Amino acid sequence: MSVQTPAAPPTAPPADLASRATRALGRFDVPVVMVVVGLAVAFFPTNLQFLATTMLIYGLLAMSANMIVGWLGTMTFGHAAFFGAGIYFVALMKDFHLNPLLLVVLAGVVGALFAAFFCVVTLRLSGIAFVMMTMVFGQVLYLLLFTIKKLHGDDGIPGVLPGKLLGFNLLMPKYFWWYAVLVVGVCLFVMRLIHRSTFGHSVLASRDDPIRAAALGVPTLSIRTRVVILAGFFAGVAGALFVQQQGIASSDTLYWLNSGNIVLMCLVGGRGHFFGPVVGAVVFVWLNTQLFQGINYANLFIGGIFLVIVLALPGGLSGLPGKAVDLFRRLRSLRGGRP
Amino acid sequence: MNQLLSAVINGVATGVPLFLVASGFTLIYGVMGVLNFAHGAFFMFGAYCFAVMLGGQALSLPMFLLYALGAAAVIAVLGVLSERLVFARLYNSGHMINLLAAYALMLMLIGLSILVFGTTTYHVPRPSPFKGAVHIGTVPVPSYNLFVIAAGLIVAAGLWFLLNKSSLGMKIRAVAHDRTTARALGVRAPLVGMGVFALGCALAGLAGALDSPMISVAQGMDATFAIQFFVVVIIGGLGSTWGALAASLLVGLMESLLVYYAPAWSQYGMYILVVIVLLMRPQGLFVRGPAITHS
Amino acid sequence: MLTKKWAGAAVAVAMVLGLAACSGQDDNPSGGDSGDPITVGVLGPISGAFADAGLNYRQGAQIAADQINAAGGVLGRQIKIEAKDTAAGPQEASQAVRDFVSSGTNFLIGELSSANCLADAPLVDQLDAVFITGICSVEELTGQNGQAAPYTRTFRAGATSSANIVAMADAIGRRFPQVTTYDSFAFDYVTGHLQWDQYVQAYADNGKPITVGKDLWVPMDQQNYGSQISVLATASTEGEHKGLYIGTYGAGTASFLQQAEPYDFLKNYEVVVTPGGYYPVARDLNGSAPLVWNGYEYNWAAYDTPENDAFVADFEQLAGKKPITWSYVSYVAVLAYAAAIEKAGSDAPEAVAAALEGITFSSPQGEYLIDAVTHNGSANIVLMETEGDASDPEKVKMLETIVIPYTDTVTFNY
Repeated sequence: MSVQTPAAPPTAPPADLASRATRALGRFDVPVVMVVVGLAVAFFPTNLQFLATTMLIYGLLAMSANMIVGWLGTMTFGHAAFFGAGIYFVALMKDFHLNPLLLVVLAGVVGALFAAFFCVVTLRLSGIAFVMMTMVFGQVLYLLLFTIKKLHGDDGIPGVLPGKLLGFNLLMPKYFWWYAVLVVGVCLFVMRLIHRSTFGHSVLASRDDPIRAAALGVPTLSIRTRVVILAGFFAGVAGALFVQQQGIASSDTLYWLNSGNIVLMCLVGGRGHFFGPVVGAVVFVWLNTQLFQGINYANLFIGGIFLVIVLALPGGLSGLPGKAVDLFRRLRSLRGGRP
Repeated sequence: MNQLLSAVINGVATGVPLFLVASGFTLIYGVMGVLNFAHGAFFMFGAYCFAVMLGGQALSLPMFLLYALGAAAVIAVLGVLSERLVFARLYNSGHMINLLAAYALMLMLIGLSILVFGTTTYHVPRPSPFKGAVHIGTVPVPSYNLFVIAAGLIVAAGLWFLLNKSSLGMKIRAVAHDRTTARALGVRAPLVGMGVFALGCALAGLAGALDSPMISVAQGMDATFAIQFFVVVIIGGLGSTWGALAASLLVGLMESLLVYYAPAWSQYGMYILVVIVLLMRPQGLFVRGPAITHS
Repeated sequence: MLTKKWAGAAVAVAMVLGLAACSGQDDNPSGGDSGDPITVGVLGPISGAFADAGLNYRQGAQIAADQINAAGGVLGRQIKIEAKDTAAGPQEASQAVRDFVSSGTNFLIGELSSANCLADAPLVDQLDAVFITGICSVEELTGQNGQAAPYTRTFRAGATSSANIVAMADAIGRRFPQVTTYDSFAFDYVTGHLQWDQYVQAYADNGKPITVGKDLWVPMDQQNYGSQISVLATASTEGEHKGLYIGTYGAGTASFLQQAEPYDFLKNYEVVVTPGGYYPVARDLNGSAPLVWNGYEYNWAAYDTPENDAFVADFEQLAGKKPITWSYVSYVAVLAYAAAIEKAGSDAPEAVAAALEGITFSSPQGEYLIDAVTHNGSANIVLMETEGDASDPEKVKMLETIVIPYTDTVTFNY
């Protein structure tokens, strides 16, 4: 038994090359991951590139929804509305042959505008009333697709061509893939910056302890507004990419069950982890379109898989590597005797 | 005047079946805080079970009711299984996790229904005494609809009696209000939770059975009332049976009146109602006090 | 923690690569040896609300494949039917098309929904595949009024929606000349409005314009029609020479008829008419279906040919019930591919597509032709009068069948 010496005061981390590199990698994890994944998929056959692109776009959409579900901690059943705003905006602009990147940015702005309008309407609501309004908002927009004849209801608006970027015809999946990687990568990088900024911290603070945050002077309501508008922007961007890839704007993308699916992607992937929603989107798209393709009761298995995830990994799939690392460490300590 | 009477009667005839389905949903949400996404699937399963049990024959009223209760019992068992295997473990995990669980359960039930019942549409004939229509004034009303209205009112009265006048009801309300204190006072909350979930699912199954002669028993049936449940909970307020009934009637009347007087708006009616309630009185029309936001 | 985050990212990358390993396929492998089967890919609903329609469709295609294989196959090779689920919408449909083509299946048939067809057609052109649709009624998939087909690789072995509606209006108008007012009850969607407008217009074009009494529109995802039925029930009285047009389909029509039954007001109409796939709905009503006139592309009693007898018998053996329009159009589509591949002498998509233009082949309705310019098939319209009958094995009695031959439908100017 030895006398405990007081712990040395914390010093700055050693500024050697290894740790500086690690820190730099940490800050640039988004670009690095995007480049690695981008290169990997570039060698895939075309149909899988197309699938990967769809997954990436849904990943961005789920990330934008996670700003509400994960960062703010609020359910939303109307996120598809902002996605749809981006989709239909680009579809309606199809005859103007604008630059695809320009359309993406404009679609984001349209999504943000819809989000702003939504915030104005729901300024005084919170809790389940707020959640209910998200559903109402989404469904009203869905119904408008049928009421406004120009939007063609369930037929949708076909013939949306993505156009050319720097001479590359985006109609080809391999070029579109890099285009999507670029746009989604930039968006994720920006989300990363926001998440790490003081604004991001105040969002998480107001979610974790609203009373204390308010006491500390964090403006809860305006935070919610700003986050929703940002979420609307990125959802609009995702919508633009989606319709540019699919070539057709269809009404089912705005149905409220689709909004539910988007939240599910966040929950399945893990709303507490940064890349969680992307993982959720990948798994979701893969389960629904690839695995169990051709079985008419496929939902039984898909639901079963989700149930297992909920019960075993409530933090989502992205908690899996963490748990695996912990399990590995515990096994090692059991065997080696060293803590 | 005739049109108005017809619209009102049809509104009630639409609202009460909605109440039948929504009552279970509000009960589960009010007592356990779980938004049971899978409620529509239990409803559909109940209708399928009932249709298969009947095998296309038109029954006498007592047999019809017996089979309907039988279908409700089957769904109650399914409900108990779901609660024990899934929701009991997630009680403290927060709303989102419960929502994900309910969604996963919904998918499983839908898949199971295709596996068990196939892809065909089932037809359920009305019971023999209720095949035609009666006239209220000059307005024709199918007699089966009146039967369903009566059933709905009996269920509403029964639920009210159970929740407010029985000792079990007191325990249920205690658990809904403050689970921890209720347990401290000796109420076996897990058992109560299981019972409430079973009852809620049984109500969904019963509603499916009773509604089946009026709608196609087929895939997609679960989505019929999906949004309406949420609307009824919002408008009626938490934990209020009569609130749920009134809200259902309101939704039914709103839609019916719009179909008569402003058909282009009939789909939006429900949403207009919700927005008005949310902006004016977010805790619901029939609940006293501030909004319980169940955060 | 940095380790965990990187572990998470590594998992993401590993999943992506794992995906490739699991579904690893070559990009457009060349057509196999001469012994390999030729696969026809079916795009349509396997799950969801239209799973039953999709099943009937796949069964029709399977019957064709079985019959062709029993007779020696095509170019000595067997035909294989493979299906992918496109119930979720155009996004799932376009992925399914790409997956089919990537695995070497270039001959595609199918689709129930217009949006899916509109997504598939341009894609098929881009990917060097061929697509034959029979149910998608949207006009823009093939050439209209003699115009060239907009998509080089999309063909229609079925009727357009307007051909169906106009033929119905013409025949019903002649059979019931006293009916000059119509009420309508229809789904509020693009095709629903289009078809109703075409029906009304067709009467006007024939010089016998009809007056519209009540026209009621219901949203597609709703099944509670009590209010609308009340309106109709009180708006009609017996002996008024009115007609009722039902523009819903599937579960919607079934619910409408079920809810209308107690009011017993359908007898107030001199004729109740509905376009599209009504026969399976009547069948599912288990004998309680009312007297309805239905116009679509086929019913089992329409043709008294040995080909049709064989088709109906084989189908009944496979499915346990009689074939319907959805089974027939897929059957014809597979026959078309078989004939085209034989004519082209190869399974190269470009050659087969060229062979499909102007091809003729034998079918249950007689000789079937696919127009070289418009890509439209010589689909007849079949008008049938049915009524529920609990003692019939099909639960529906086929009272009368009128075949409106393709050549007659083409003369309508629309």
